[in-house]
Amino acid sequence: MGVDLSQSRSCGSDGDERFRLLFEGLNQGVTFQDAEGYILDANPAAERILGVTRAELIGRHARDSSWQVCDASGSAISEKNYPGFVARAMDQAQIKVTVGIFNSARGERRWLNVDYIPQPSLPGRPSVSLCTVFSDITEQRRTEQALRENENYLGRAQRIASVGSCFLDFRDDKLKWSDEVFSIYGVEKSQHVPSLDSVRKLIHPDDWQIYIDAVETAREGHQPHPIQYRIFRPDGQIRILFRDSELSLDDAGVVIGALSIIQDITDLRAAEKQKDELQTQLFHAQRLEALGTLAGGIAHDLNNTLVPILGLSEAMLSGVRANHPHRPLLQVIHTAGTRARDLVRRILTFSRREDLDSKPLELTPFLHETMRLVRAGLPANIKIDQRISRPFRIFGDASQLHQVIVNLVTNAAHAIGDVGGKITVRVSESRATRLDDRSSLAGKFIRISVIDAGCGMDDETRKHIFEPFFTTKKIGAGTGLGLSVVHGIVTAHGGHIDVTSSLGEGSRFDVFLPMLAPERDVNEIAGIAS
Amino acid sequence: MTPRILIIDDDLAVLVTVAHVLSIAGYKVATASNGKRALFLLNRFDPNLVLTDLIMPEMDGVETITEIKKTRPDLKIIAMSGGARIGNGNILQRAKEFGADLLISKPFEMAELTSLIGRSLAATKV
Repeated sequence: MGVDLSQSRSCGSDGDERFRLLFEGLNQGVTFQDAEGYILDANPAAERILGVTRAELIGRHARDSSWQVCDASGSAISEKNYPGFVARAMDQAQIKVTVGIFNSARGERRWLNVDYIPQPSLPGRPSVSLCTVFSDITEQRRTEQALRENENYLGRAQRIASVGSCFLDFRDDKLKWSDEVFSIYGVEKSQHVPSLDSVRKLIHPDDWQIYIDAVETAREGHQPHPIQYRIFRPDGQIRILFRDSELSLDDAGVVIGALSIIQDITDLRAAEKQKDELQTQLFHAQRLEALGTLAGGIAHDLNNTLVPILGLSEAMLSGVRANHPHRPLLQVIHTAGTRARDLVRRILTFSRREDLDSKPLELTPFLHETMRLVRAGLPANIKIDQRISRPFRIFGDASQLHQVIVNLVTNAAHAIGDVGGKITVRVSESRATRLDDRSSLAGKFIRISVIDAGCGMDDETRKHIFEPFFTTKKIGAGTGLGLSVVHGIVTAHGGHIDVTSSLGEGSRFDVFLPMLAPERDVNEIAGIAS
Repeated sequence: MTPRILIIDDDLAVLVTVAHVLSIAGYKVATASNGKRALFLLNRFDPNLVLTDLIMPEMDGVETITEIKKTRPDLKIIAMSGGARIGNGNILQRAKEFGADLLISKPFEMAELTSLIGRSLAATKV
């Protein structure tokens, strides 16, 4: 059945010998097939690659079922699409076709890279119609597969960690981004070609210098420091990115680029900021609590001390005649004692050691009445913009809450000063967002906001405003108890108070009080407030 | 017969003041600087009314009230204090739970005290 091709060649014996050495020694497998696809001959490399001896190969069909011939994707190849058939039919070589065959000697599928070359009919060897030249690429395919898997893992890992990587090649200034970087910048991979120019359009103008300085530092061969910069995403979001880089060197140690990791740290920053704020709030709450305890202790002793001062001056006053020279002196002692008693009462209010007389309270009439009284005490150059007609109910002590409004509005008026201006008093509904133990108890809060466009305050002042005896007013102009009393009353009502302010731009005090819903049990609210 | 009032307070200035004012108001008074001394005086002085402080060393006001009420359950007791709260509870309210009939916060107007005492004694029909 086999055709000895070397013998059938009509050229001289030197040529035959060279052909034979080439055929036998070639590292690639070679077969010759007849017009119907039957193998006429095969070289030793073919035997090795296909796992079948030459004797077994000769006479076997190229699409013999034992080979389970398949294409690169692993699907069986129909007779019509078989590359050998196509090559013969079109008289055109089919080059570098990937084909899988089952190697029975190895007991596994091997992947081959095959050239199908149709052969012209030559005198003397009319039967050869097709020559195949092939090599085993199984190992290469496995390596490629592993590489693809690694790339896939890397991409997934970047997606899970939300960390992208990019490489800036200094030799041609080309920027290569991982898929995750596209997603971090919020741009489509298909529509965005990364480059220093294109990335500049995404970076906040104020932060571009930070970015480009880091690039230049790396280009000069120095390790750049990690940087943070803001970007504008096409969806309108401003995000904060973190970038850390490492120099890439060639074999000669010359810097050729910088490899960087990029991470969106916007949420992290926000969480850190929130944590800092909560810690600050906690610190202040603890500080106020400690001051309250101290104030309560002092108040107790002062109240005892005031009993003889008030009582004996009162007793003596009633015992001396109207024109006695000691009478006005005793009056001074009694008046001073009375002032001291009032001061102690306010301190006790701050330290929440005074009881509330709480009742369900319709907010609108209460605020209208309070504002009417407050307005009477304000200078004419202060305008009040009140938006307080909302039908809210709370559970509270009207006289204490009256004090809260009076103190806040008076303070706002002081902040505005002689220049005059507007104070806005507004009522709205709010869900408390602070991670405060009270907020977790009660759902809805009403918010009473007192907003002024006065002198405002710096952060340092803002930290201390609720502490007793802290004042920014001139000596004698205020006791420094007004806002500590406000704090004490609001806290005793199960509410809290927030302050936003910046120097020169005015202040805003938001008082949050638990809303009294019709279905809520009054006793439950009372429990919160006590 | 002149009503007798026993005043209990660890603060000497308070004792002197209240004793002076109530004497002028026409009451017969005795003073005790702590609860033990007050219990000792209880039978000898036989008061119609007790006015006691609450925060005191050794035996505090609540304990004193409890002890007095054991032997003299009908005796009127007025509790007074300069501190409105202890922990989460109102100390004056606590005294009421333990038997004090009336409460007064320090410092008080003397007229306020005498009126409170007058009403309390009228109710007991001395």
